[in-house]
This record gives sequence, structure tokens and C-alpha cells, in this order.
Amino acid sequence: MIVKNKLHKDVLAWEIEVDDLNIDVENLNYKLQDGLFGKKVITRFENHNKELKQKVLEVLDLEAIKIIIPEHKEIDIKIFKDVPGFKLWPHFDLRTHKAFIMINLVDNKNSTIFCDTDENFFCEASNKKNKGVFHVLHKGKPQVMHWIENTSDKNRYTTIAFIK
Amino acid sequence: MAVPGSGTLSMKALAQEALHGTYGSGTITGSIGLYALVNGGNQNSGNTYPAVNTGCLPNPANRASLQLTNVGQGMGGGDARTLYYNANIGAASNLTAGDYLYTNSSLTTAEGASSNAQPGETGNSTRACNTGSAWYFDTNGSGVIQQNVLCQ
Repeated sequence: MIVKNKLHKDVLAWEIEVDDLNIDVENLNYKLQDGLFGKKVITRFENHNKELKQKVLEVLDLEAIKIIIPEHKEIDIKIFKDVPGFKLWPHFDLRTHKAFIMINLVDNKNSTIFCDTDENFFCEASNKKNKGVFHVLHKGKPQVMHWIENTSDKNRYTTIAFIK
Repeated sequence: MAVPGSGTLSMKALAQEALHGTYGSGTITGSIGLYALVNGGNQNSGNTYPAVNTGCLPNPANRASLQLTNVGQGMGGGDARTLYYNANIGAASNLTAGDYLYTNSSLTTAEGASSNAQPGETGNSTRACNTGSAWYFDTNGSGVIQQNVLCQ
């Protein structure tokens, strides 16, 4: 994983790039998200293949994560399919989450958008395959929220490493 | 008359108070249904009890509510919303673990289990924290707040 430019001076978010994960996302089995995003979110689906999750873990720069988030205890990998209409409203993430790394598994139309607490736009992460964002949560001023929606007519495929 | 503030209470005397305003005296016919006694009516009762006067304080509890605004769902699973709590509590910064949150201003529908965050705003009594910090809190299935206000 290569950590690249910071997306915005006020946002602890950096563009990242990884080697091609070569995951055939179209042909995986997905189940409705496990409730982490609330019971009402019925447009996000998860693949639970442990080998694929391990593959994602192996492309992450674990040393860099240790340095930036020394207090973290767990890296929870999730592989998502977000169907058209999917939306997560501006939020901070749970306090138990320290950071996340989002990687696009295909070229997606939409990507993570960062905003302030009045929902004023700061910046948007890359939507390109094998690129994404490393965002440190709950730190820095001003407070930063993030949100995402799938406004396309295609499924959105990402993997997210929740660093807790 | 009034219900005593201490000592052993009698259900019959409570019924006498409800029906006649005379705790400990007055005619009560047949059985006393607890539901009817609390909510009014004659369910399982030999008498018909009056509806509870919700306009008086402090008994029954103050049903007036205040707003807890812009409560975001922890992982973005819905738009920010307004929750409600008993007005006796005062400003949102006074909320503590154990207090109840509701989804309606009449405080009849409890918030379910949820993980939330409310951005602070200085000078706004519907926010628990000042600008630049947020309160992260959970509610259980009965809408009970699990954490004291901690502005982070």
C-alpha cells in the first residue's frame, strides 16, 4: 500500500494505492450487511470469504498503520457490494473505530465524501480501482464527517479495513 | 387528601384517593384493577376510575419534552434526527446514563437500540456539547442512554 497525498489540509485523509487485488467481485456471494450500519440499510451487502479478507489484509501497510494508530487492537476487513441507491448519511463512525482504509475494487462512480458538521464539502476520495483513502477518525479540528452514496445504475464494489 | 410520602401504601387507600380524593376512607366496590387505577376506566374493577391528570406536577411525571437535535447514526445508517427527553432534565448537557430518549415529543415511543453521535454547538441547549466536540452515545432496546455526556 502506498500512502500518497493528503486530500485536504483540514482532513486527516490520504489517498492510497494498492497492487491489484484481482478479486472477481461480480461473481462472489454476498449477504445483507450484518447490522453495523443499522438495520435500515438494505442496500449494502457483504462477502464473508476469509481468504479474500486475508488477501486484502496482506496489501495493507501494517507498519504504517501501527505508527499512525499505535493504539489499534484490530483490523476488521469487509468486502462490500453497494447496490444502486445505497447511501450512508454524514457520520463520524463509531468511537471504537480509530481509522479506516477504503479501497475501490472496481472503477466506481462515487466515493467517500468528507464534510464538516454542517455538511459543507471538504473533499472526495478517489473512485478508481485499486485506489482509495486512509482516514484517521475522531482527531483534529475541525470535526470531519464522511458520507457516501451510489448514484449510478451499477453496483459499487469496495473493501474497507476498519481499524479499531 | 394526598397519598402519603412515606410508609406502607395501601392499594385500597390509593383507590379511595383516586375515586374520592380521600386516602384511607370512602367506599370502594368490589375488586380494584391496577390498570384502571393507573390509567383510568373500569378494567377488572368494581368502580370506574378517573383518567390520570397529566397536567399536574410532580405526580404523574412531567410529560413535557425537550429536543436532542441533529443526532447522527453512528455509521451513517440514516439521516440525522431529533430525539426527545423529559423536560425535567433541562438542557441536553444534563443528560446522563439511565435517562430515556424517545422518537416523539409526547414521549410515548422509546428510541430503540442505537449507536449515535451528536456534534456539539456552543450556546445551543439542544446539543450536549460545545462546538468542536461531539457526544458519542448508545441507547439500549428501551431507549435508555448508556453513557454520560462526554464531549470528545
